[in-house]
Amino acid sequence: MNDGLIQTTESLCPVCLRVLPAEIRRRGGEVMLGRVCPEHGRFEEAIWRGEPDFETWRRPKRPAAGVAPQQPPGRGCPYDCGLCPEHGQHPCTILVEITSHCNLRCPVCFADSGRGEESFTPLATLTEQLAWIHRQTGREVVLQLSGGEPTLYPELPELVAEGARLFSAVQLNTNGLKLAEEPGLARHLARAGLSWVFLQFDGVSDRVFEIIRGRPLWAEKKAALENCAEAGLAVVLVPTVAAGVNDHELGDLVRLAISLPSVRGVHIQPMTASGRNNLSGAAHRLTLPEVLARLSQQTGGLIRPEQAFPPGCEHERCSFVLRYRRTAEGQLIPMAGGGCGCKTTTTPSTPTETADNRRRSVEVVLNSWQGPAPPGLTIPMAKPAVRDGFDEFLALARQQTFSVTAMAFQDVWTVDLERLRGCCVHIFRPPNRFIPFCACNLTSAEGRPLYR
Amino acid sequence: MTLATNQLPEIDVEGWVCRKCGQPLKVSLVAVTYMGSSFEVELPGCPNCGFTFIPPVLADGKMLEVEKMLEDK
Repeated sequence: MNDGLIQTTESLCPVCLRVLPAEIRRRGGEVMLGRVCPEHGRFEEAIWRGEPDFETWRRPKRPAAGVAPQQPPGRGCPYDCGLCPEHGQHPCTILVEITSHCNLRCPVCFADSGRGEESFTPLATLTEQLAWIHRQTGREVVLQLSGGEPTLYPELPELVAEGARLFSAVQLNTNGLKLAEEPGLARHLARAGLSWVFLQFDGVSDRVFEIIRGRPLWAEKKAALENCAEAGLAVVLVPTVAAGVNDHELGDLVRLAISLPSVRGVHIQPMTASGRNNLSGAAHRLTLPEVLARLSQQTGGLIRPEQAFPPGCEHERCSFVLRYRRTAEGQLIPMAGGGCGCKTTTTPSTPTETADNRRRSVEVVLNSWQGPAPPGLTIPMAKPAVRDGFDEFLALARQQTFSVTAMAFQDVWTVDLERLRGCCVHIFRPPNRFIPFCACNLTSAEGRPLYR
Repeated sequence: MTLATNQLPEIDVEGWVCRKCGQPLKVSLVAVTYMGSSFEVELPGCPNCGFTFIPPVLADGKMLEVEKMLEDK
């Protein structure tokens, strides 16, 4: 690929957070996002390094109209999030921060939790908030319960049950310490209808946890996995990955995940500079192709970059998706998207409908991450299901689906307003706002938040 | 992956004829392959040319579900 301008967009000044016209340019093996602030000068950050080529990584989407709720236009994107009329995608995932309490004090925390100003929102208030969200989005949304550390919430099973009643799926974002300490908690949450656990899991050695979480946690993580497996609770391992810190453990982490039937996938989040972070320097940054390259190298080609495809819901530059069927021997057979000879999504000629993609995206996420029904928890059917080859294939496919995904959150150095307007992962801010995840967590170079 | 052979119930082939061959359809074992996994189901088809008839109840039901499993995000 030749050097030069690829496209124009808009970004922010990392210092004063003003909106600036920006250019995406190829320079050697890197794709850079550059802009000039009249007050603070030129800023440039690498947003893509390596294969697949940035120019071919496309999944255009038609902006979705009528996103609810509408905030009145004011200063324009990204200052009026709520959502505002400029936003181009429905939420497929709504994150609710149910407490600011945390039982860790991580050096790295985009929510900057555990500052000593903790509080629990009363259950009745949270229940009203879920009902309000449901009125805006309908059922087809993944509800993420987050924090702080949501397992510290005293009435978590009740809240999970309410979420399961209202939404397609309920996901718990947790560090897993309480799940490790209290084996009964996983069972309570499974019975309440929790769909899967998003388990913070940065690596396979204590050294990594010491750096990123401030203390060794390997034993606790293993215990949390065991307790979830015993409760029949599906788990997705979620590593926050920084170059030079834990990127060398990605292969071992994927191999560990493949070996555990209750683990449905690995969801990789490259480190960003938002919130509290002592690993925010450029040397620790990883772009999506670099994550793919490490996965390929460290798994001996079990995962291959050409099997990855861009997402159908969020903006194409925000994530990659790898979906497999895992065999009993630990092999990965590509499902849709790539490597199976039926790749159709990489360069579509026309934009696909965003509203429809949201529905499909929620279905695909459910198929990927939701485990088979826990033992003893299957709801008896009025009429027994007919058993044939299709039924058995579906049951096995549900058990064997394994995904490796990565989401490149944006920070003040990489923020691209085109991506922000295509966001479908929104944080609910009481009483009545949905704020795109990266806008909500964004902080300036000096630590000044855009929203928090 | 080997899956059991089973019959899909309630497929009434009475009155169905192959348009090309004019033969009445007969239920027989058909091999289905997805993602490198094969299984056999009993489906109506033409005994002459082998063309298989997928009833709407199957196409809109379990086959659609299988396709959704294989769909990307």
